[in-house]
Amino acid sequence: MEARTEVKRRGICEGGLTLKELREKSDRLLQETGYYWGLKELPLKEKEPITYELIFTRLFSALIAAREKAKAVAASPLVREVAEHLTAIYTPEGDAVLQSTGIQVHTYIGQRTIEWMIYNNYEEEVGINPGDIFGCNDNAIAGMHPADVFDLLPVFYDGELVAWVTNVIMEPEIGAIGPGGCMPVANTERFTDGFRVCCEKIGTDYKLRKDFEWRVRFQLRNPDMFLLSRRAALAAIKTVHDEIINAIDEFGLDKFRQFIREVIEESRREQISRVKTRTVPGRARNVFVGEYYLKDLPILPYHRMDMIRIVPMDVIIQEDGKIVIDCDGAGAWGWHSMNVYPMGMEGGLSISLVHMFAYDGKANRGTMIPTELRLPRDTLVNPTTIALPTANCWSTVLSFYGLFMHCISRSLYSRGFREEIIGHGGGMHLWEIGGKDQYGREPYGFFMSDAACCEQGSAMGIRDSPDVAQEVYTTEPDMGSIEVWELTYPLLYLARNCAEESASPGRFRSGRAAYGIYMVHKTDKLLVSAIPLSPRRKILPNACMYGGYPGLNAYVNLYYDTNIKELIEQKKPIPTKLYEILKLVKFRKMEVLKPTGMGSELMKEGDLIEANYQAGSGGFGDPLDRDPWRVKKDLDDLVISPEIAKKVYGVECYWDENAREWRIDEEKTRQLRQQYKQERLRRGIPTKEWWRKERKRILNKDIPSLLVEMYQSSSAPHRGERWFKEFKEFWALPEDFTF
Amino acid sequence: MEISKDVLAALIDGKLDWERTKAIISGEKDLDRFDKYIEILQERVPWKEKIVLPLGEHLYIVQKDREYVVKCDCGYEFGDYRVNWKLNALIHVRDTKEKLLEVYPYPESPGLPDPEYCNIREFYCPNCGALLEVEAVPKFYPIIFDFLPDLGTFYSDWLNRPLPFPTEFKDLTYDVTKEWRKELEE
Repeated sequence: MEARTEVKRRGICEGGLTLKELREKSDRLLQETGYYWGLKELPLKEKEPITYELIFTRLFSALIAAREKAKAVAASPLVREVAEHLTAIYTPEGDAVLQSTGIQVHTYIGQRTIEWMIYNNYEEEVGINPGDIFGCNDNAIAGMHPADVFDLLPVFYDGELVAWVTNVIMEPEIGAIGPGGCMPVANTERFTDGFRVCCEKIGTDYKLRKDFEWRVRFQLRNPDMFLLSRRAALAAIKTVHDEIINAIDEFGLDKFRQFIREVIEESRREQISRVKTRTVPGRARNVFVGEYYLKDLPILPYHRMDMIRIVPMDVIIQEDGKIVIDCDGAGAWGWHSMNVYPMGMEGGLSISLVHMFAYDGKANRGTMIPTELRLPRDTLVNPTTIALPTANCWSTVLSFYGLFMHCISRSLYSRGFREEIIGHGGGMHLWEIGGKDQYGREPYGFFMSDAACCEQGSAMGIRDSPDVAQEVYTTEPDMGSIEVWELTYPLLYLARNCAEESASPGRFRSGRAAYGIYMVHKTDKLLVSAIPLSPRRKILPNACMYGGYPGLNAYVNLYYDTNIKELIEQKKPIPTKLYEILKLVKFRKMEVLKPTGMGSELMKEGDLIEANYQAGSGGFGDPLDRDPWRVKKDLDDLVISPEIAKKVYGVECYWDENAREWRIDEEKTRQLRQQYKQERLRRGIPTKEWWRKERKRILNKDIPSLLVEMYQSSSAPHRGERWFKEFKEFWALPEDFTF
Repeated sequence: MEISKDVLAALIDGKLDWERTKAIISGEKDLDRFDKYIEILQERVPWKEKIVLPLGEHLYIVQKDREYVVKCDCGYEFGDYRVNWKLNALIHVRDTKEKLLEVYPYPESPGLPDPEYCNIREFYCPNCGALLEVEAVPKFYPIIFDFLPDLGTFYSDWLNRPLPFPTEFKDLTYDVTKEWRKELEE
């Protein structure tokens, strides 16, 4: 011990600083000056703008190219087909500098991984050397859920650590508890959440370590796919690593160092500037709702309970352009996989800012500086134990930030930037499967991801949202090819299309969601487990604006012992639309998969699965204000039914057999819409009257027990003192009122 | 990027062609957007009060004497903008399956909400019957105050032209519910 203190090792960063010293320097400069790295001026950007942009373009292109390269190396269809990965560059002390396209929700999280290494003295106790590869998928350190695996590579130049390059890939199987092994719901402690790499050195000299490979082989159902993903990641990060070296060779180390600091300060300023020039300061509100039905799951008996949780959000745009999200009133965490740690909430915020403000390719740590997340402790969004699983943390993040975007959209609307309005119900109801695959291999487990990247968005401020084309966690949605999924899953597609009922009404409507009808193929042992990206069954997300209607929840229906094979053999009609199974197919049993449930039986060849991937995204504006020509177009395109056209949009239409198109009767439409408005005036009651009745029910405790428990959870003083005070003030309840 | 008033009017009406819309989305934002936006909206409303801030598809915060109130384009006034205007609207709650099916005619759909747990609240203008807002929340959740702007800061600090009459950034909704309770006691 004595010898170690005497010969103190020189730090690996510029000027002989240790990583920790550099981290502290960065934080101190920001705190003392208000500018990132203390940069009141941006000399490189201002005096040598061409050099500045050349370095940016060089690195940004390298990131995009590297991500593409990974696609060619990986075996996982999640990388090859839907590109669920991302490459990014960080400063030596861990601040995000630049990112590729892709699952940008992870960029900020990579920063937290590097910080972990810094504060746990990896520099001295683990060693950080050229060619070392670090891996991490442990959200107790940093991360969303274990399926997202980070690979990190330090970049050295002349013996000095000058940057980090990371790559994150979502794995379709991670050795978690079955059936799917990726995002299990029957999973109530972190110990069943899958394979963990706890920010470890998994390679040296740019190669994976043999001992790490063996650990993977012994712990995963599909280790080859996982290991090829690591090699794909390595190909990506080494590509960027080399391009950084080339850029330093060309422009010099001083300019590289200056660039990575200035681009962060530039993004900080841009973020504030965009907020101040596009929004209106003030407070927008919404509330996230999650429903967790765990009573019937095969889990530890003491974790079997149903619960509903809310996370209220106050989105405050301050005078200085800072965005504050206050979640006072968030409900308690629980023993289930839908909790999210603060770092996951940071990830959600960072990608939301990319969607709404920072889409110029320079979103980084600077973008996040003028933001603040207020997450009360002991809640769904800030649990007090690391023993929780987080396989389905997306349940909270996607919906929460879809609603956050609605909050920001209100101020964009008021300022006049209607073309920037977006929003989201946040996540559909996915599923994973396990058992035996179509090649007879078991154990088999796979995340069913064909619709994961492609959700419906809420209506935009000037137009309908495109169908199946929006996703919270990525900027590059893609569904992949059916043919590839059919090679991957023991399922055949009878249909994949857009669902009629998913176009949520409004002056502008939401995009349509995808649905799929699948036939179980060449297996007699398949179990389906829900992935609750939309953890809702009873309550809709409040993802609509200005009179548009909320979207419906997603669902998955399972049909056992069907006669579909006979129908196919006899060349009879087979179901290709939602609900057609009910009309065309005989079956022994049908069950609706709960958003947090599992199939009650094994599925086998010829059983059917019907999945409607609605995200609950909503409409914008009064449907009676929708231009009739848009309604006509929707009818011609089979987006809506004539019933919806009349009942919801107040449009009188008829089918013109000769022209083979729908026609609008404009005069009748005008009259019908006027009639509907009169009906609204008749059926609407003054809010005060409604308030009185509801208040009485609250005082009489005439409330379903699940909601009582939900409100109790949020009204605990340490979670929601302000929220509960406002609750009581809204209903004018006695001071001492409790649930 | 310069955008003419006509182009902006077409943009906010959803009638601008995609090529020009895309250029506006991708381009540098026009810094005089707000003023042009207000001009367009002011020309469209049938009343004279000055629009201070658009609040929704039919709602505006307008200056009325020395105060700022929420006004529908039909002319109906909801009162001080710092009180949630929904308190002075008409409400209709879709609290039965039958009422839900009027909007979502999919009786077989497991995606429908459970009216025992979920409130689909519609808020109408008491004068013209426009559907101003719909909210989907757990039953008994307080009516959501969607957006309370900080008007004073916006005009003074962000636009550099203070409002003629100062206004404090404060939620006054609960003053109204307090009054409602008093009425119950009387």
